[in-house]
Parts: sequence; structure tokens; C-alpha cells
Amino acid sequence: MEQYVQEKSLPVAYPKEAAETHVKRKSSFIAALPFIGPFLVLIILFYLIPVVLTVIMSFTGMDFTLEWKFVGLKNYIKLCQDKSAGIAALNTLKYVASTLLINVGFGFLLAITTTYFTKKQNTGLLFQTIWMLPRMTPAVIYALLWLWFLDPTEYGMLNAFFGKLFNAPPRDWILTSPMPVVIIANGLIGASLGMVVFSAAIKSIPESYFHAASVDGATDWDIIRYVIIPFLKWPIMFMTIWQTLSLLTSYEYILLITDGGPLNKSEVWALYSYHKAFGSYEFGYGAAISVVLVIIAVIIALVMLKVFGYDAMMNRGKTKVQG
Amino acid sequence: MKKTLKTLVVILLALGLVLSGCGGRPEESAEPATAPVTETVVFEVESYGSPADATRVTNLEEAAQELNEILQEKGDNRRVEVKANHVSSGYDEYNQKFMLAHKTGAGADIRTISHSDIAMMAEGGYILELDDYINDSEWGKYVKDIYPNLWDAAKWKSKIYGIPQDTEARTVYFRKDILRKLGWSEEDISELPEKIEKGQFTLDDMTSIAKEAVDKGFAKAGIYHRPNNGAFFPAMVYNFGGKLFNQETNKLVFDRKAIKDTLDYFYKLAQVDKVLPTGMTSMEWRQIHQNWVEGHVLFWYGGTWHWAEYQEVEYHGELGKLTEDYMFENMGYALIPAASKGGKPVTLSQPYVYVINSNTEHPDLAFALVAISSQPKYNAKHAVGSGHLVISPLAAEEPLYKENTFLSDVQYMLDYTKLQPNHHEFGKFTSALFKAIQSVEIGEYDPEKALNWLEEQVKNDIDEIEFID
Repeated sequence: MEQYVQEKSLPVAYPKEAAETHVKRKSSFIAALPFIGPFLVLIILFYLIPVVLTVIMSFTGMDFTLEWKFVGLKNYIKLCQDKSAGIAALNTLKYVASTLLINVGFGFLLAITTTYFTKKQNTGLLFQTIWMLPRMTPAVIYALLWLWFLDPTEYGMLNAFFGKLFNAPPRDWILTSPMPVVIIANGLIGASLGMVVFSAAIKSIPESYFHAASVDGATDWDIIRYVIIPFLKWPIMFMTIWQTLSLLTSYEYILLITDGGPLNKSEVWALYSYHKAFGSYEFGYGAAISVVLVIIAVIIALVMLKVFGYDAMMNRGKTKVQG
Repeated sequence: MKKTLKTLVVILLALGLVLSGCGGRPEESAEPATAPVTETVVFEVESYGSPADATRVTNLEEAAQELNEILQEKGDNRRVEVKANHVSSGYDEYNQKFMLAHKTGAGADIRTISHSDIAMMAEGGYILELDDYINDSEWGKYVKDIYPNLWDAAKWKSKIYGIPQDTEARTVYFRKDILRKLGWSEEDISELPEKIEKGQFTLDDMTSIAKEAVDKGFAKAGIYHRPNNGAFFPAMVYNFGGKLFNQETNKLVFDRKAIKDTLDYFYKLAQVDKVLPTGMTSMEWRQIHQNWVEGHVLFWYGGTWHWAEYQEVEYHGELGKLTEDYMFENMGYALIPAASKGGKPVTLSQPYVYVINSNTEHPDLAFALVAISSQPKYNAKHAVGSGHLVISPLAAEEPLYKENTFLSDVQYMLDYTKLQPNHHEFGKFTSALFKAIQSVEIGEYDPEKALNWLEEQVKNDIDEIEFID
């Protein structure tokens, strides 16, 4: 019975052929090892081991002494009772959803305008390069530019602009609207990545589709709706998943622009973990906060892959003949 | 053929190795047989502070030469070499980097840190206890003269873990040019520091004048303070009669009344009298300094070190670096006024201390180096160059220091100075206090609500704290 079950579970019914397949797979794995080996080592070294260490650390009360003092579930119990963590969770939801909209939506808009509407390739490239500038700027400089731009005195660029145009008094942009500020600051950087990916995808659509659509009398909107968007399904899926996961764990610009303030109003989950670990030297508690983030990120990634139909994308190359 | 080639290559390589090995020996034997005379001990030293504070490490470099001469005279074959690094941004990162390095057995041998981090560094085993070196070593004589209150700042649980490097005072700077526009005579202006010292000019008086200056359009802002968490805010709690630490229980103290009064003060400044920008805590440092040096602000809660900084860094749009003459003409300085009439004004000092890495291989030499660099000539040079106060009465007598009008003027502030508690959780307290102050300044909370919020945060974050009314 056991043997039967084992045989059934193999893709090929005959034991001899199954064994041959197994040997083939093994030899192809060995052949691929020199190619994937270095990356495998890097992944284990810089992704897997840190995750395992973080999980172990989350069960310790590691503080400024950097000693592994095991405290069981204490950090997780504390996390459940921590009101600030609740605020951080809610902020993360707002931050990820809104920034994602800019990263993907605005990135798509930029791609369309610089690739589809701008017929001269060089002009399109010029605009794309300009939009890439924030991404090429070091994070600290980028954040400093925002701080100068939004300075609460009349010397702040935005305040000077409104002051000159509308005689408006200076406004504390960062303190009164911290979340919109960090969303826009992050969105403008994230949108450039979406723009590059979507532009490349648009360029890969055969010209004949656009010509055929034009001949059929399709408007620009029709072409975007019925030609471009269907072709961009997979890039959009990729960018949505990629940006969601990246936004969940990103905090550097928030740290530099608002530091999560005022009063935790822009404190997101990843930044809260950073503050606890490196601000208060509660490394154990900070690790527990991070572990929750890892679990949430994995769940979101799996759900998104299911929703977008990841399996279908991977089988895309196989021709299906429909009767 | 292939096999023959391979064999040939192997033989050639082997021959090469043997010949190169043989070749080394005659050269060695050709040199005179001299035993190493000296052993060079390289000390990595690092300090934190504004660019003007770099003397914290350059003094060690100079002291190394003096130490080497002493070692030579003594017949000690060790010689000290210093690799210096001065950091001017990110104090937390500066410490974290060291803590992580320490766990791998590395990290700078000698560092300067704020005295308020002594507890954390000592409790974590990062730094050496220095009592024996101070009391029993031959180098102890160089540090015997240091002010007793500075030694207190360097202690944790009654043991000394640091050698005071400098100290300072938090001052209220005022613009003389704006006061003149308000009709103050030169005599009124020159008497202001004394009136503050006697408790005749209080925080409320300061707010009233600031309001007058803003209302009449002579200043764009009446008062500025630092934009982020720092020692100024606990100083204000002290000013309102607060207690922050219980020496007997070794616990932090949450003094509800004093903290509430502090919150009331900042709320009134920003929301009622509107002499402090509500966005003070989101302003960028450079903008604050620029507005101050250009004369747009009447009062600035700064520190003695800013006096040197304004002469070192180009903050002024037109003048660039300020000359001291310009500063004396347009800026005055005083203690932080008392909270009530007849009360005692305050200031707060945050002495920097030299600490020695517990991993260092030559702790005696490291201590010797620090001790020598603590001599008056080095300390006075640092104080004058960076706007800090010296660590000993002898250093205060150094001609270079005595000739400095500003430092001589502010030396009396040390009689009014207070220190922050040396407790490893004090950073969490100041961080939450800053957020509460920020909340009242922007009008998010009133002082009562901010106090409740702060109490809740502190209860959640700090284990060793007691509450008093």
C-alpha cells in the first residue's frame, strides 16, 4: 500500500521511468549548481540567516548589553498590549495603500506619457531621466531637500511660493500633514521605477497592434484600455507585489523627514521596529515587531500571487489550443 | 604532450618557490642584526561633536608626542601612535557602531561620549572602570585637579568610568540690536544677565518682551529652541522645580507637577503668546542658526558652544562666518531665567568624558594618554576653540582661556548648573518628553492631555521609574 501511494505521488506511473527522471533532475541540479550556487549562498547569508536570527532574537530581552537573555513570549505579549503598535499598524495600512497608488498608478501614467504620447524617443527619455533623478539622489540629500522645501518659516520654498502668490501665512506642512508628506515623498521616488518597467513593457508591444487599432478607429483611450493595459498585466502584477513588500519594510525617508512624528502620526511598523531596536536599544522587542512584519509580508505576497494568477503567468509560454 | 607540459609547469613552479625561499636568506643576513627597539601601540580614538570640537581628538594626537617623550625617558620601549576620527553627525549611530564593534572585540580604544551615556556603557561592560588608574597610577596626577562635580558626572554606581573632557552651559542668547529697537538703553542691555542671575527677570518677562518684539515687527520670532530631543528640555523641568532621579533608589522620577508646568510653558509660548513657531520641532538646524545670526529672532535657547560655532560655520547669508566683534555688538548671553520672581536661574551641563574601551590591549597607556591630554594647556586650547568650559581651576587660569572674554563671562554659570541623571533608561524619558512638548507646541494636545499621554508612554517604556506629584 505504501509503495502504491509513493508511486501514485510520482508524476510518472512507471517506477523505472520515475527513477530515470529523478536521476536526470539530480544531474541537472548539479549542473546548475555552479550558476545558482553563489546566489544561493548570498540568499542564505543575507536573507535566511538574518530572518532566523531575528526570530530567535524576538524571544530574548536583548538590550544595550547585546546579550541573548531568553524571555519566552514576553515581547509578543507586550506587543499585543502596546497602543503605539496599534497606531503604527494603522499608519502602515494608510501609507502602503496610498503610496502604492502613486507608485503604480502615477508610474503607469508617466510611462504612457513618455512612451506612448511622446513620439520622439529622445524627448521621452529626457523626461524619464528627470523623473529618475530623485532615485539617483542619496536618501539623506533627498530628505533634506524636502525639509528645506517644506520649512515651516516663510523661507521654506513652498511657503515662499504661497506667500508670494496668495499672500498666505507660512504653514507647518510636516507637522500638520505628516502622512501626506511622507506618502508624496516616497511616491515620487517609487513612481520612477514603475515608469521604467511599464515603459519597457509598452515598447515591447508589437507596433502592428497599434496600427491595427488605429485603422479600426480606436481612440487613444481605447488603445490604452484595450491594447496597452492587457499587455501590461504581468508588469503591473510584478510592480504591485514588489512595491507592496518594499513599502511594508521601507522607513528611511520617513525617518529622515518626520521621524515618525509628530506623536507617532507617521510612525509605520518598520520604523517602529527601528525606533525600538536602535532608539531605545530594545533589540529583542524590535525583533518581535519585525517578525510580525515578515509574517504579514509573506501572507500578503501569497495572497497577491493567488489573486493575480501567478501560476498562469509561469505557464504563459505553453500554447493552449482551444477547441 | 599535454602530460609533459603539465609536468614541466609543476617542476618550474616548484623550482621557483625553492629559489625564492633561498633568495630571501642572504638579504636577511646582510642586514645588521638589530633587535626591535620600540613597540608601537596604535590607539584608535574617536570623538563626537561639531567640527569645532575636533580638538577632542587632535589634543590626543599632540598628547601622544608628550607621552612618547616621557616613555623614552622612563626607558619604556613602547611608543604610542594615534589614529583619530572625529564624527559630526548622528550621535546614536556613533555609539551603536562602537557597541557592535565592541562585541567583536574591536572598537575605538579611546572615545568621547556624553556623560549621560556612562550608565549604559558601564552596565554593558563596554568601558573600563578607572578608579585604580586615577588613584594609584603615576598618571593620576594629571587629572587630580578636575572639578569635583565633573567627576560626579563621570560616575556610575559610585565608580568612575570616564575622565571629564569639557563641559558647557546652556544659555539664553538675546539680540542686542532688537532690544535697542525696543527702546532698551545700553545699560539696560548690559544689566540683563545680572537681573536674570538675581531672579529679577523671569521666563514670563522674557515671553512678554519676545511678544512685544514680534508685535512691533522687530523680530519674526520671539523665541527659538532646539528642534529635536536634547538636554535643554530636562533643564526646563529642573527650572520648574522638578526632580528627575532618585539617588537612593537609583530610579528615574516622573515629577508630574514640574512636567505639567514645563508643558504649560511651551504651550503658552507657541499657542497663546505665539512667540515661538508652532513648527519649531520640524525646523532644520541650519535654518534656525541662519535666522538667529541674521537677527530675525530675539531669544535663542542655545549653548556656549554656539559662540564658537558661529565664528566657524557660515550661517549668515551675507557675512558668512561671524566675527567676535559683530557678536559682542549684537548678541548677549545669560542663564536660563528662573520660572518665578526671586527664583534661581538654571543651566544644564552635559560634560563630555573620555572613556576607555574595555577591550583595549594597553589600558595603562590609554589612560596615560587621556590623562596627559587633560592638562590645562590642551584643555584650554579645546575650550577656546570650541566654546566649551574648562575642566579644572588650573585650566581656567591658562592665559589663553583667561583672555577669552566670552568664556570668562560664562564661567560663573557652572555655579548654577545641573546634570542629567546617569541612568540607562533616561534616553527613553527625554525622547517621550520631547514628543509631549512637541504635541503642545503644535496644538495637538493641551498640557493636561499631553501629561497623561507622556505618563502612559513612560509607564509602557521604562521599568525603573517612580511617580511623584
